Amino acid sequence: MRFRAYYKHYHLMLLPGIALMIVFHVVPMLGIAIAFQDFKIGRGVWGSQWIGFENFTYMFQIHDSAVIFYNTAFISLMKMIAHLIVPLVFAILLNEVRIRSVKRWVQTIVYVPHFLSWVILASVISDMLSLNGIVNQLVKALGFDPVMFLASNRWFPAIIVGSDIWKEFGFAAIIYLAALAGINPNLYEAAEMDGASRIKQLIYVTLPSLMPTVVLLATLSIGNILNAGFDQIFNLYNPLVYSSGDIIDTYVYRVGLVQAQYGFATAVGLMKSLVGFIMIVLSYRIAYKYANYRIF
Amino acid sequence: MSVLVRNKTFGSRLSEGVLLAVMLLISAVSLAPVWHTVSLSFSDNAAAAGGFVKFWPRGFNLESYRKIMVEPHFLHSFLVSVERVLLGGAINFALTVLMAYPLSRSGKEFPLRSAYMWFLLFTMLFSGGVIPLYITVKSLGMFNTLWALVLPGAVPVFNVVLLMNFFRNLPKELSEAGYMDGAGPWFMMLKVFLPLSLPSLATVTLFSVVGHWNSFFDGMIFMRSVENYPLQTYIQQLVVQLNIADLDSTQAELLEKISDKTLNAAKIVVSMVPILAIYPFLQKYFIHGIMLGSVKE
Amino acid sequence: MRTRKAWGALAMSAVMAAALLSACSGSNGSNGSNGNDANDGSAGGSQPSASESGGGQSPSASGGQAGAADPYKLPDPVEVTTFKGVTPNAKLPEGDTVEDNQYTRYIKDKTNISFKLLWYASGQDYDQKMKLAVASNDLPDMMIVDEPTFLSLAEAGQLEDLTDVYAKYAAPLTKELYASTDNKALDKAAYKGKLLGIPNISVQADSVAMVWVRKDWLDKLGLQPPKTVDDVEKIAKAFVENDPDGNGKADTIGMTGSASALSAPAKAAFHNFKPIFEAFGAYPGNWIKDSSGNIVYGSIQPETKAALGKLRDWYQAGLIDKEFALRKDTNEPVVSGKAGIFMGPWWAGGMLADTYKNNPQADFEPYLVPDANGKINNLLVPVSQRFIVAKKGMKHPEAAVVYANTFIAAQRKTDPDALKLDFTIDATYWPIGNATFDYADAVERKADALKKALAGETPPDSLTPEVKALYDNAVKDKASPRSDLTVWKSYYGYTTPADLLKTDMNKMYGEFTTTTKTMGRKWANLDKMEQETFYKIVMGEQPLDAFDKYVSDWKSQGGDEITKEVREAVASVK
Repeated sequence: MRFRAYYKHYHLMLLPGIALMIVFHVVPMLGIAIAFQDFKIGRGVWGSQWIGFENFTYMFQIHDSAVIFYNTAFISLMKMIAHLIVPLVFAILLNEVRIRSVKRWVQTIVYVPHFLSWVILASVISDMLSLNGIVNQLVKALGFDPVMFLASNRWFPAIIVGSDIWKEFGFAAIIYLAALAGINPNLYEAAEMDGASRIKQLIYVTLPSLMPTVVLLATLSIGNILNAGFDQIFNLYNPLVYSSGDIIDTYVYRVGLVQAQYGFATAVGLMKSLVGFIMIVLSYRIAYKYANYRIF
Repeated sequence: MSVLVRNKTFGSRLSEGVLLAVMLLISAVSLAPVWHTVSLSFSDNAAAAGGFVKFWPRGFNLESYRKIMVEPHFLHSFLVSVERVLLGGAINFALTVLMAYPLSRSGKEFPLRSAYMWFLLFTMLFSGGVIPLYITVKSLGMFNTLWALVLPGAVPVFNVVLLMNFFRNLPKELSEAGYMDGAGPWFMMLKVFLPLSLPSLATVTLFSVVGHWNSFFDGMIFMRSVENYPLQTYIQQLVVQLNIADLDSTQAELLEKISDKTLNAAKIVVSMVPILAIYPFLQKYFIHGIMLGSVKE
Repeated sequence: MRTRKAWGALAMSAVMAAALLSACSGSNGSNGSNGNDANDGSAGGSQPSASESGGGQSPSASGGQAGAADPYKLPDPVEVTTFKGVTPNAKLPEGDTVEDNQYTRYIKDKTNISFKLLWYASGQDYDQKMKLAVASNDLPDMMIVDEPTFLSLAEAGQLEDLTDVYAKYAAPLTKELYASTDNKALDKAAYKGKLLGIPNISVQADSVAMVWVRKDWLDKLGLQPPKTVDDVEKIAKAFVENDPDGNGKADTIGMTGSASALSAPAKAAFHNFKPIFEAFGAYPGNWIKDSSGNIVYGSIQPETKAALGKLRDWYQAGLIDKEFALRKDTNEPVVSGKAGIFMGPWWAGGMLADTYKNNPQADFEPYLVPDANGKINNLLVPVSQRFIVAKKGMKHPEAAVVYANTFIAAQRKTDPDALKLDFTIDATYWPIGNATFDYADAVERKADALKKALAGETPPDSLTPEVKALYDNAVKDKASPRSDLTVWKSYYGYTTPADLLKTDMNKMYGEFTTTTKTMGRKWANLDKMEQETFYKIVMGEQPLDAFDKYVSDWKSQGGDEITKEVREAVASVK
């Protein structure tokens, strides 16, 4: 088997990266020990008291932990779906634009909001959604009463998902654009020979070619199920929308305000990673079992 | 180019027009907050704090830019950032390619690939936290050096997975043809796969450049003094995030920076411009596609 | 692209959480970071050699202490490592650096201590980095820390006992300073009977919450300044209904608020209702002594309910900004000229300068509002919030005391050589950063010196450089009032607002400013409940009686337990 002769080359290629990962990632993972400790600064990892799973059980004893988990998973799931669809649709549409300069400009413009900070965007958003903001002027023009959107538990999750898309879809579309650019033009030529319309080309050539990327990104983002975006929510929420907008990370942050709790924060982080990892493994298994497709 | 050779008879001018209109609308929606930020950065702080700046700058001035750029540390920070992007980006690039290629081989060609793959996915999700990283970097004597900014994130796992995915979706015939001709893995990677993957290479490069350019946290914890901060860290600490509870009032200097919306906006513009400047060079690869045709044999 | 960014975040997931935890310096009102206070103690008497130096025994640099140890100079040169927070981009003379400037040279010269600066950073950066370094046990010989960090380090046994070196080296001036706080400061720095830190002295001016009212609107509508809470209500009502800005639109806002308005923090904050709570004798968010001397939590007291009821009525009547809890730019209503009343500390000059720039006719005046008995209640800032500490096992712990002695003497100008220092140079450039060892009434003192000079009672040349700068700006501004708002705002705080600080007040103390074991676990939940309930009550989403349910939930979900712990903790110190 000639492949065997290549193994050592493959190992060699992987070696530098793996070595660096071990030094800077695997060894420091010992820090996870903190999750099982009542970690006290000054005492350090070796001096702090071991408390087993107390930090973990505490996570579920928090009075409204169910609400917090639900908010987190709900917001991040909505974001995940939106982030799969919007950039994809946008990329496909942009790809249909024939004027190259338009294509270039549009793509550049939509990519820029990624660089804005949530501090700035939060003030823009609260301005737009204020009682005198443009959104409410529209609402009034349509004959409805103005709404305090940012105080409304009905609207808050939608605002979070929507504004996140607003900021990130252009940047996220880059991956799809790259995938589109990588599609073999021969496939289109062949389709055209067969008389396929542009819609048909989209369905039979473009989408199937993008599928692996879509599946990959979906799987990776499901690993993020318990990250609903701290920075954004922290900048946009207020006590009135705690019941729909308080997520794990904001809660942990506020716990830390009272008393720095490295042990608890690490335990939460570990739990989130674990859940994310399990989700990824599950997706992998399902795709392999039912579609005979290896995501990774 | 694929788009140009495609059938023009499908779709009326109308649909073409609708498409353009939609794109224009999307652009406007994306541009608005950016433009607002730029306007803020050029405005008088009193007008900004009063909420009078909407679309056009009010009380046009360059004060915020002066605050950021006239300081002696600015240029040096800029250079640190450039160095970091160049060195870090190069390391990221090399390692991404080196790791993505073997991982893109099938289980048959490289049975251990899955083990490596899951290792990477694992490290992507789990981390020991910042305290052990701090200790590691310190004990390696890398404090206050560029290495502290570059090595801990040397392997951008997401990029590796992404590139692996792109490699894997290149036509199977490529590898087969290569093997027939007796090409070894190094040759295949460098001479066959790389040239065919320009869009995805441009993408991962963009991600790591943006990542290096934007990160400020590591600069803050690993650098000894403001002189060695990369640009983002430097700018970050200029806009003091003040918690009034933390303040003693007698220092006017700091208080003036409270709610300095214009400075905050200028900081974003200053850090955004260099990225936008290099953008077209990468953009052309992933927006216009490549001539795969040349390899069909 | 979200996925990737999120991954980045994930890759550091636990990390970030930890970092966030440390990012938060806030709640206990303490923070070691860039200490700020430029107080060169200039304050005091206008004559530098003056009076305050403790019964006239001004310590000379050669050391006045008989026999034993020289409180101002170590016999041999000593090198001490440290790290510190500095003010970003604060000015230094050409050629000077953070490590080598007039302050570091002065200290080295006077004390024989040279500092090796391991690193420095600014603001929250410093805070995060300091906590990270401390958590990684990467401590310097000497540093300034905030109270939570101080207690953690003390508990972990990482701090050198300074009891003996303090007894041996503390200068008379230093002792006198702490004596002026009834030794409350030293109590704060003690842990299990040992003195583990050299405490600072908080500037109390920051505690006073004032009601700032648009004087020009008052005049226009023919109203009198507020003398009671009801007056505030009447004025706000007139401001909302009588079109004080005369634009023919009902677009004015009575009073402002913020997403952290419904509490009474020790340090007065902008757009926070501390003055109203205080006028009801309510101190939400604080552990206070009730009338029978028990320590209780302010938020669950009936006074708080009464105050919330008042605020609720005001909100309902449209006197409080409808969107006060949602605003991201809380200053905006004031700065844009729409709002007529805001609550805030004495140092509102910066915000007012912006307001006046946009609305040249605007004119805000500060007032204090008494409670029903005519008393003005004031919840004070904890007497000390920062501590100079020495690492356990450090060779020369006496350096901490000698440093503090010298620093205090320099701030008080009892050392003639200190007169050569330019105190307009940022105080964070002192070797270990800025500890405040000024008088608790530093602001009032500076204001007095300024007033006397302006009245021609003292010659301007005798002023300390800092007050001289205020004086020069005041004179410049007199020539054409408010023509240069940068000039105006630099001294304004030391005039009318600082005068108000001298009003006789009923001083309240937060009796407990740290945390207990149960608080660590349960406080976030209790606090969330409190915030949610208070906001919903004021904004009318819940009836006022929801307060009672909150109180019983608070008690049953850990509040009672915590109260017990707090009482024990306070008792154990006594």
